[in-house]
Formats: sequence, structure tokens, C-alpha cells
Amino acid sequence: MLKWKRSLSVLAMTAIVGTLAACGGGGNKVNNAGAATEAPASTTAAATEAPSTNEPVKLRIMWWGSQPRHEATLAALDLYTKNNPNVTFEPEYSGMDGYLDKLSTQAAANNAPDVVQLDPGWMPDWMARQQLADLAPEVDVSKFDGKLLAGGQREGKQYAVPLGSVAFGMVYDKAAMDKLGIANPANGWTWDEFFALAKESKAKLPKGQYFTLDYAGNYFMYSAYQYAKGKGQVITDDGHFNVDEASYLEWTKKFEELRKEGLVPPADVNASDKENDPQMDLLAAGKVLFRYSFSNNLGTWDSIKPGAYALVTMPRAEEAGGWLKPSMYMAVSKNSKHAEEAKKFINWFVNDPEAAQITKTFRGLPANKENAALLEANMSDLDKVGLELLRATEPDGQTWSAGAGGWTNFVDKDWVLVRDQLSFGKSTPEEAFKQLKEASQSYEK
Amino acid sequence: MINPFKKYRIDRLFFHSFAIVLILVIAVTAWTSYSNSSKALVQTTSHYQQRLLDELNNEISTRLDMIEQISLSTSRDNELTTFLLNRQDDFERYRKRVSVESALGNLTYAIPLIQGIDLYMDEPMPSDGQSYIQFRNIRDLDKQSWARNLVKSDFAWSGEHSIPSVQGEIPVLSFARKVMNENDYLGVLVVHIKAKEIRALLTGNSSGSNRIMADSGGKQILSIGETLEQSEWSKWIDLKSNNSGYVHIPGDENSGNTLLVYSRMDNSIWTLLEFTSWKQITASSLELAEWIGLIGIGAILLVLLLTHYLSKQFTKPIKQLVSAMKIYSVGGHREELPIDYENEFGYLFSGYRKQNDRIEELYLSLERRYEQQRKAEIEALQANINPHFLYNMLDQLNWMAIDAGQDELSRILELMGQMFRIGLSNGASFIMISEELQHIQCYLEIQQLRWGDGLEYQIDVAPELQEIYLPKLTLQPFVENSIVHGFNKQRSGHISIRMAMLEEAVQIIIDDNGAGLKQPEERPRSRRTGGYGIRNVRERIAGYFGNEYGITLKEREEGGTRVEIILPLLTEAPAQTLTASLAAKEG
Repeated sequence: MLKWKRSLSVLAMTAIVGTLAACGGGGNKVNNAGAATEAPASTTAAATEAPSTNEPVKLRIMWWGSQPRHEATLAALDLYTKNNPNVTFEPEYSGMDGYLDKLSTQAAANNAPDVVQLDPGWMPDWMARQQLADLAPEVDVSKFDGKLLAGGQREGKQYAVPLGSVAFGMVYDKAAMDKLGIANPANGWTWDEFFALAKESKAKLPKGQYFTLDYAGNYFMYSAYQYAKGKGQVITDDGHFNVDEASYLEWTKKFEELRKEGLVPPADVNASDKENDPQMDLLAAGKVLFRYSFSNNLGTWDSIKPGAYALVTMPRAEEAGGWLKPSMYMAVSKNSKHAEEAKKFINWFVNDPEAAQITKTFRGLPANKENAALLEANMSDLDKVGLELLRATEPDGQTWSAGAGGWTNFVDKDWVLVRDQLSFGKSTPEEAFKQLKEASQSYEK
Repeated sequence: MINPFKKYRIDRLFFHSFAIVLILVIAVTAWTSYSNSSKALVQTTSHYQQRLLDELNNEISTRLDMIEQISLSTSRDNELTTFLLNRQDDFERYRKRVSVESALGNLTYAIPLIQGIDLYMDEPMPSDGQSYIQFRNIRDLDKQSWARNLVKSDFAWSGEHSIPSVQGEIPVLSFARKVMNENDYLGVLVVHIKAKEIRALLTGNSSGSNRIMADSGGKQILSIGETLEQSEWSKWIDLKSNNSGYVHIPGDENSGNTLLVYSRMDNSIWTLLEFTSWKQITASSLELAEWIGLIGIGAILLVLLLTHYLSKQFTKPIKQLVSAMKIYSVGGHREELPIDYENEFGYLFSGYRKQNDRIEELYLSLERRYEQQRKAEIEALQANINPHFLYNMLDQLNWMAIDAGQDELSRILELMGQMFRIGLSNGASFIMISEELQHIQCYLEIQQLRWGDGLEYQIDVAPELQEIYLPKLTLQPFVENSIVHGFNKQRSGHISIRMAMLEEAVQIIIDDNGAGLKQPEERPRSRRTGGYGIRNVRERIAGYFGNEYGITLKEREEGGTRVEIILPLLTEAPAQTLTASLAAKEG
């Protein structure tokens, strides 16, 4: 009887408590939740002293590149999200084609991604237009080569960090040349040897296969040629048209010759070339033996046809033809709503050894010297080839400069029009030079 | 049918009846609140969903109209048509391509909704498969699933499909428009818009909703969440009318009921549908009902306690009473019942107490009577010894009278002996009429022996009365009275005894022709009320049978006295059973 009574009173208590809890449930829960979240928040704040809140942030990031670079970059983003769960990414990546147009259009609409990858050549314009945010103090650049940093500086502020350094040289289809019995070039070769090799290969090349691309109107290749001839920059650092007429005519006429002899592809085939595209890259398609390349790009071709390609320095003449340059820069858009998080990400991306292990040399040998040393210590054979080109270019390579601002359109539009006219045989070398000189008038400072 | 209030224990009755009432009330409350609130919820939900869908429809329609307009203006762009006319040389064609590509590219870059643009044309220059702008051969147009929509129309929307890009397969909706120039069909401009964006528009701020976007013909373009098959929902919507509305679709065995809200508008070619599971809408109603149920369970538990407490309070006095009854013994220890109850239990207790007092009293009186009876019986036994002694003495006297040759005396003694025997009758109070008559005859014979021939008597009794019982010695006092007092001054006398059966009674009439009731002045009272014997008879009759029966004395007109005795018709002796039952109890 006593037991029954006791159990009954227990039952009663549970009933009453249950009913009370049921009635006041809503309020209690809120209170508990409030208490529960407050406590850990304060402790973590005290522990880490993180000034920023941990609210979720989605960073838009945009870059260009080829498949291996895309994969490595996505992996790095995943790692960052893993370490910082509040930061997620909305990546926009593509090939180089249309990249600048897209980025410029978005920037014009104040809708540029938070983190952008920029070509060194665009830096002066972007900084001049004040479209980038100052990276100090979040991004630590103490371990960077000062020469590379300079391209992202304006008026003493660092607006962009260099991601890597690359050498401008050439890639060639070693496998095809060995098969055809054409001698491999050696580092330090000359333009004369280049054109001689072209002529030599004529007899050995089957139909539909060419020595190199039609570089007659190519801005970078002509720059390399003019450098080699010791005539300096095509556009001077202070913003003047500086195409050496004699060198230009020499260059364009040599290519006119190659065109006539069928050593460069006809215009429509040449125009269809898309660098690094597995189907449309003429080198990858086996249609040309030579094309220009940066030291970090061997991996991309190698991923298309493993073991087939090799690198060689840009041919020289009086001076070296190639040069070392920052591969690309990374910056934060001025209108970014999460600039702080974006800068923290960049700091990690360029300084963290773990990040460097993932991104490897897909953006060139890291500009961060410690990371570069780290990667050099255990490099793949493929990366060693790129490093070799870098080292071969380094001693007497041309001094790279971002150039003067305001000439981007000259290079991207006017020069390209002349290029196509030359390729399609619509103008003579003389006419081409005249046209360029006239077009340059509107860009002169 | 068993009355449960007579069968089950009180605490259970309390609990069950309270619980049943409570459960009923709660069930009714829960059901009413559930059904009413869910009805209201469905109405509100459908109303707001419809308004929301109309707004989304407007928004989507605005976006897609913009795409259509852009497509229109682009398709009429001079550069594009010149490029498609294909009347230039290779260089011009290449330059035009570059310029068209760049124009279309800029369109794509400027409008984030656009994923890419395809241009179907004759002899396209190939472009890499992943770039935003694609030049495709018009002969490949038929390979596209949406191409047949272009047969009858100059433009058409496709359903959701995927196109390749650097970032993998991208789901898109496509708007295709024929590019015409002076009735020449030059190609098809296809604008791909990101299905993700439209999906986001369709989702709005309400994630987790189930919506379909369909064209005006009811063909599904894209869907989010879990929706019904097109064949399922299309039969519920009137595709001819441009009115929004909602339908309740009853579920089958696989799925529950569904609320279908749809939006169709005059200024939009799109139909938006939203599906909401009935369960989801009425979830809060269900929750409400569950809360009520939960509170109900709490209440039932409380009721359990309350009824336990109540029934305990109610049954406590009853139990006390029962235990008091159990241990009750007359004159023994008395269980004290609480005296502070003023209600029904108080009445019960005081009633019980009074009853006990009465029982006690009754028992005491019974005891007293039993004591008296025992005394009387002892007395009677003692009295029985005296007559026996007298009887034996009479017998000896009789033998002495015979020895002395006194025949008359002997006869008298003999008759007296008979009278004694009958008078004793083993102590019985009732004897049969035949015995009574025998007794009175003995008496009269003795009197006749004393009187000689002067005394006459007549007895007239029906044979069927012989075995009827009557209190013994009823007649003798009257006869004696007649002889002693009535014939006091006479030499002769006549006594008549008649007995007759009335309905339920025996009538005895004793007539004499004596002095009547008027007696000499010296003894007026004795004759009227009768002497000791008559009074004894009168009291006995009154005692045994009550006032209905009795004795009447009156003067006869012809002289003498008439005694009329009315007795009940007894076929057996009642007094004997009484004594027998008393004796049995004592045993």
C-alpha cells in the first residue's frame, strides 16, 4: 500500500511537471537556446580573439586557366572551406577567351567577383581605375620577391599579389619531331636557327602539319623578336609606341615566307587555334610543332598527350628573346562586400604551405620564396622541365614590365586586327606597320 | 445489464467516469480545433500561395520577356544578319565572326541570367565546345529536342536541358528564335538562360516548396521540390482559362492529399504551380491537437490522483463502517466511528449507532424475556410436579374409595383424574375442542353427581370442529360460573353448549337458565365481569388473538345468561410452535 502510494505520487509529480513543461515549453526552449549559444560564443571569442564574426560568407572567385589549374584551385578552395567552414566559394572559371571581357563587363556593373585573377598586363589599368582594394594589412607579402610585387603596387599600396613567376619560352612536340627526324632545339638557340629549322622541316612535314603558328601579327612573339634584336619594348614604360620598323618588317616578311611555303597554317586553321583546348589547340592536335609557352604550361599539354612535349628558351639574337614575368596576380575587387574575408583568403592562398602543395606550379613557380623552395625540394619531373626553362631564361632574360597603362585595347584590338589582316593576306608588312603606327596615335600620352 | 455502479469499486468508477468524460471532451476539443484550424489554414495558405505565385509569375515573366526582347533585337542586328548572309570573303567572315562572338559574349557577360548563346547557321566556323558562344551547323538543329517547337512558330522556349561548359554541365532553359532577313531564313539564335536562376526565382524566399513552371500549354519547363507528374496535375487545371486558382487533389495509397495552387495570368505565358502536402499545411493544426491531447493526458493523470483522493475520502468512512460491522459483537468492544461527519456519512454513522443501540436494547429485552420464560418454564415444571402428585394421590384415593365401597366417590375421583390429565395436557396451552368437551363433560358429571337429577346439560358440536384447537379450559370457568352462581338459588339447572363454525372463526355459545346477570346486591361486580376464571379466559383470548375475538356476556330473554365466545379457527396449536422455536434458540 505504501509502495503504491509512493509510485502514485511519483506519477503525480511527473504528470504535473509534464503539464507545466508542456505549457511553458516554448518559452523555456528559447531561453535555453539563448543561454546555450551565448556561452560558447563568448568562450571562443576569448580563446581565438578573432575580430571577425563567424557568419557565413560566400566569396565569388574568378580565374582563367586550363583543366589541371581548375582542379587544383577547386581543391584549394575546398581545403579553405574545410578550415573555415563559414567561408564558401562560388567559383567562376573559364579559359582565357572572353575572360577579360566578362570581368570588365561585371566590373562595369559593379558586380565583379570578390577575388579576381588578373594578367600582369592589365594591372596598370585596373589600379588606375581604382577597381581594386588595398590588400594591407591582411595579406602578408614579406616573403615575396620585390620585383614581382612591383607589378601590383601603385602609390605605395599593394593592390594585387603575384601568384608565381614564369619564363616566356617555347613548347615543341618532341615526340613528333623525333618521329619526323627533325632535330630538337637547345636552350639559347637563335631566331636564325628557328627559321632555318622551319625551312629544314619543310620536306619532312606531311600535309596538314605545320612548323609553327602564324605569329606574324602576334604581339608577344614580336615583342620577343624586338627584344632579341636589342630594340627594347614595343610600348615603352612611359607610354610611347616603340615598334622598330626594320625589325617589324623583317619579322613579318619572314612569316610571309613561311606562310607561302606552307610552314604556318592557313588563316582559317590558324584562327581556329585555341590554346590549351584539348581539341582546338593546334599543338595538341598535332598540327604544329612549335608554339610559344610559359614555363608553367607544360603540364597542361602534358595532360593532353603525356610525355610528348618539351620546353626550350625563346630564340635569341643580339640579346635574349625571353623574359621572366609574374604569371598572374590575384586581387580583391573594390566593391567586394566581403573584402576582409577575401583578403584573408588571398593571404592563405599565397602564403600557406599547404595551399602551395595543392596549387603547385599551375600558376608558375610560387612568388612566395619559401613556398617556391618548398616545391622545388620535391618537384615532379614535369615541373623540373618548367623550372629548367625558368633557370635558363633567368641569367640574361629581358626585364619584364607591366608597361604603361591605357594600351590594353591597342594590344587586344588594333594589334589583333592587323594580325588577322596579315594572316589572311589582306595587308602587306609595310601596310601593317603603317596601320599600327596610325592606330597608336590615339593611345599616345 | 449490470449496473456498473453496483458492481465496480468506487475508486475505479470515479476514475473511469472522470477519464471517459475528460477524454471525450478533449477528443472533441482536439478534433474541432484541428478541423476548424486546418480548414482555415488551407484557405489562408492557398490564398497567399496564389498571390505569391502570381507575383513570382510576374517576375519570371518579366525576366523571360526581357530575354525574348534581347533575342529579338539581337536577331535583327545588322552585323549578325550580314554575318549570316555569308557573302564576304574568308577574312571578312572571320572578322565578322570575331565581332559577332564578342557582341554576343558581351551580352552574355552583361546579363548574368544568360549562360550562353548558340547560333545555328550554314557553314559555321567551329568553336571550342565549352565557350559561352557557340556557332553550330543548322543541320544539327533537328537534334535538339526543342527544335520541333520552331516548326510552327518563329520562336519557342525549350524545357530544362543541360549544355556543356568549362564548369561542367549547366542546366539551362533555352529561347530559340529564327533569324530572318527579308523572308530569308538565315539561322536560329538560341539564348540559354541559367535554369538555376529561374529556379531561384521560382523558389523565391520559400525554400522547401514544391513548384512547377509550365508553359501556357501546360508543358512542364522546370520543377523544384517534389511535384506530381505532368500527367497527374494537368487534368486538374483548366488550360483554357487565364485564371489562377487552387485544387484539392485527393491522394492515393502512395501519397497523401495535396493542395495544388496555380497561377495563370493574362500578361504571362507561364503557368506556375505549387504543391503543398496536406499534412504540411495542417501540421500546426495537428500540433495544436497534439498539445491539447498532451494536456489531456496530463489532466487524466491529475484526474487519476484526484479520483484516487476523492474515492479514498469517500470510501474511508464506508470502510470504517464495514470494519466496525465486521468486528461488532453484542455487548462487546464497540469500534468508535468518527463523529465529525455532518453529511450523508454523518447520517449513516448516526443511523448505524442508533441501530446498534436499538439492537442492544432489543437483545437485552430478548434476554430478559428469555429469562422470564425460563423462569416460567421452571415454574411450569414445578407446577407439573404438583398435579402429577395430585393425580397419583387421586388414583390412590380412588382405590381407597373402591376399597371402601364408595362407588360415587370413586367415580368423582376418576372424573377428577381425567380433568387433571386434560388440564395438564403436558403443559400445552391449546388443546383440541374434543378434549375440551371431554374435560367439561367430566366437570358436569361431577356436578351432576353432586346435584342429582337437577342439573342437565346439552352439548351440540359439529364433528368437523372436534379437531379445532382452542385455549384450554376456556369453557370450564363459564360452566362453573353458571353452576356456582346462576343455579345458586335453584334446585335445577340447564346448560347448553353449542359450537358453530363461522367463516374464519369458531362461535361458542353457553346458555344457562340460571339467575342471569342480575345478582343479589351483595356481589354485583363478580357476576358482571366474571370471577378470576372468566377474567383469566378473557385476558388469554385478548393476549393470544387480539380484540377481534373475545367474550360477550348478556341476559337471555327467557332468563339466564348467554356467553358468546368467538375464537379463531385454529387447525393446529400456535402456542406450541412459539415455545418450540424459543426452545430451539436456547439450544
